[in-house]
Amino acid sequence: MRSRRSICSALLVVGLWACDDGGDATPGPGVDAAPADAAAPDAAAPVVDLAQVPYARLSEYGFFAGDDLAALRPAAGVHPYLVTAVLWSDDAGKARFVYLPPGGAIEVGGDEDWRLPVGSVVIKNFWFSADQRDREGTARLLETRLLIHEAEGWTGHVYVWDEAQTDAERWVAGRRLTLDFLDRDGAAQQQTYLVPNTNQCDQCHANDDVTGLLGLVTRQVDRMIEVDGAQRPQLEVLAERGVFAAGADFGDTPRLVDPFGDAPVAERARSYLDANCAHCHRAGGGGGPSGLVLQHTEQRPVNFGVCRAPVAAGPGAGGRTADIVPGRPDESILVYRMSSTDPEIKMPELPNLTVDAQAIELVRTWIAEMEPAGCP
Amino acid sequence: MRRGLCLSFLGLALLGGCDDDDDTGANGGGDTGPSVDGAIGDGAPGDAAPMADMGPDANGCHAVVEPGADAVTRLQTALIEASAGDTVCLGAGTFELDAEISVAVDGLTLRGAGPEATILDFSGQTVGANGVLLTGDGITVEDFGVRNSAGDGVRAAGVDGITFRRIHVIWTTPAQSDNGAYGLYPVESSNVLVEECRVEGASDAGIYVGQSRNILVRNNEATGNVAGIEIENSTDAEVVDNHVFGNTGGILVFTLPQLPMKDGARCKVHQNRIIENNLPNFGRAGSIVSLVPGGTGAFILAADDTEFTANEVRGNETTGLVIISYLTDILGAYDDDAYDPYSEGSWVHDNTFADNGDMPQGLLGGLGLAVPLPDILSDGCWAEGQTEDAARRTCIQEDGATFRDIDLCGDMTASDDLAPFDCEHDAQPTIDL
Repeated sequence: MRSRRSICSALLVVGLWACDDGGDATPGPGVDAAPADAAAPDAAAPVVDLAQVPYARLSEYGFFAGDDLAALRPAAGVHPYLVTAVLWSDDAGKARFVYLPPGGAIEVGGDEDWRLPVGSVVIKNFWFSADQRDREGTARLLETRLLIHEAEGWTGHVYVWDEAQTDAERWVAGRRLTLDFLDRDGAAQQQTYLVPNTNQCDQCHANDDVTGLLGLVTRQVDRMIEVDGAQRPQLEVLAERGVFAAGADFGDTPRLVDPFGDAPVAERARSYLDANCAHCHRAGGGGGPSGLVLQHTEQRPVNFGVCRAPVAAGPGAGGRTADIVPGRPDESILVYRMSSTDPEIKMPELPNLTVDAQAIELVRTWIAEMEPAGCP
Repeated sequence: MRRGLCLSFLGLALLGGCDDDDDTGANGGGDTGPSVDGAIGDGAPGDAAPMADMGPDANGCHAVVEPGADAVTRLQTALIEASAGDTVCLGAGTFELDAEISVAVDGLTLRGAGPEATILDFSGQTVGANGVLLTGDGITVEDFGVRNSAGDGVRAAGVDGITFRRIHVIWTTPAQSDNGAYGLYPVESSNVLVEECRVEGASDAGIYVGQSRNILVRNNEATGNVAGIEIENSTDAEVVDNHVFGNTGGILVFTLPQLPMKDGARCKVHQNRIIENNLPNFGRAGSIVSLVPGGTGAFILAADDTEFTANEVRGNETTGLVIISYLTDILGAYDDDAYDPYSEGSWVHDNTFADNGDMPQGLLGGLGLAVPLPDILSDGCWAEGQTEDAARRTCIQEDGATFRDIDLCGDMTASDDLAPFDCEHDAQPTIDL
């Protein structure tokens, strides 16, 4: 077992806080000021041999330095980062890194135009708190997902952590883990956690058959982070670390806002939906055929669901007649499907097993405040 | 304190069986015992033998997966580890599956021992919106059955080239609105072949082809579904030699608004038996098909250039064939400037209509129309200039079929006169895949 404190403390070594707390009201930096471990990693930068990947074990990549892999101390060339709006994953927390091969840098030409060199790997570690009352405390690493940039494109791979938290093994077919934890009332709970199979990587990451990145986009990464007690723009910090090639143009697409921060409710709801739904609900995505577009930049109300009749939702419509009925969250399919765990009804489709109550409340509030109420 | 918590958590984890693999029903259910044939293993690292390197066996199978414990893991592993063009075979018996199975490898064939011999049983499904999800191009699924999937039976999403052959998708509790929406569901796909399949019990459409191109649906059976076969917002489709009976509506050719693919055109519906589709509608409110009146043989809605010919349309108690526009009063408002709500260029000819219209249900039962309703019913709503345009007018050439134009967009002066519809269009081509 590994405490999250040590995971996150390790990240301070590189001056960048990279643990979020899985959708709490205040995800992101600033919750812990533990001093950095002394020794910066001076191990050789990992070299990912594309002829050999995917490796059987996470440790073989060399992304994390030291004997204690679960501390997630990034090796040279491995850069932690935070996103603004977090994908709900059954309340699991995540620690994100991007590995760039030696001499490699990201060419950026716009919001979603982040071109990582071949050999890059995007790394996302999922962990779960042992005690929901103390989310800075003990946690268990569950799985690590990799997107590897091979010559032909990105491929997704999943590694499941062992009980002793010493390493993670590659697992292709998906898996169910049993989580034991203390809930917010201190009662012992058990919950099933789904590790996706590798086909399912593309259910979110592929658009028109091309596998791509979701978190490494300007609208998610252009945010403030805390470094050595001070707030700084993350893009600036990453740039100082040599992550970006010269001439990066980050584009002017509006940035997401923290869904549970203090921005206006409509912006927060749209940011949440962008991060949690728009990988499918956009042209070329798995939800594209529905015509429901949940990118935060979509301007036509009928396209993002307002008074939009369902076509192929089947029982997913729940007898409701529109995705969003202004003023009436209870009549809105969006709320109905976010609130369900029935595999035919629930949204998103992919394997989370618990609903995001905080997000449901956010979307309900957004819809309740829409005017005029009702649909023609 | 923190360390104490950590230790106690460790204790809990050990007692609670952390990392226990899938334990929700895949065990011990098979009647053929655990499998070994394909050396697929349990999906653990290093355990998935690269079967492709060994070539196929005598049956053409690059891997064989048998029913038994851990079926999800073994089957999904085989499907992920397969190489392009491989054939993954399923042994006879029942696979108890509690999660969606997906196929992403191009050119893969997933083959069972027969549509009633190999059953993928999703009765205990807790994960995934489909029974089987296909995302690779050029996939063939054949010779197996799918039972009680939580959502759709087999869905092909955004693929080029998909063959469904001898797949039986059945929800075993009839007429339940909780049944999955679609049995066989290719969407945003091209070069689609559905043949010799059977779908029963879908709460929306048994065979549903949505927003696709170049489609051949032949020799299938659809029964006990809300819609038997539905071709929606699709172009260049042939629906031929199907037996469509005992559904709410038999064959639907629909074009609906607010979808990415705006057109729906050139569907040739011919040589089908469309018999006694009189099941009361059990679709969930909110879906378009939940508005289809029980007793409807076939339904052309806002689709262009549909040819409907040489079908046997018998015993459908509301009406044999409805040709209708998208009526917002009935179907709901939309906001889509690019949408054409009218059915244009339909050609209905040389069918056999018999015993239709005796007991209309649903919306058409409530319009106060004289009973029996006719074999062919038109709403009489036309796009501007449509009736004067040889290419866009509705043509009906039937001997012995009854007809009514109910003039819904005018003053509801009904007419039984077929003379204004006596014209013909070019025959729609058959589809060659």
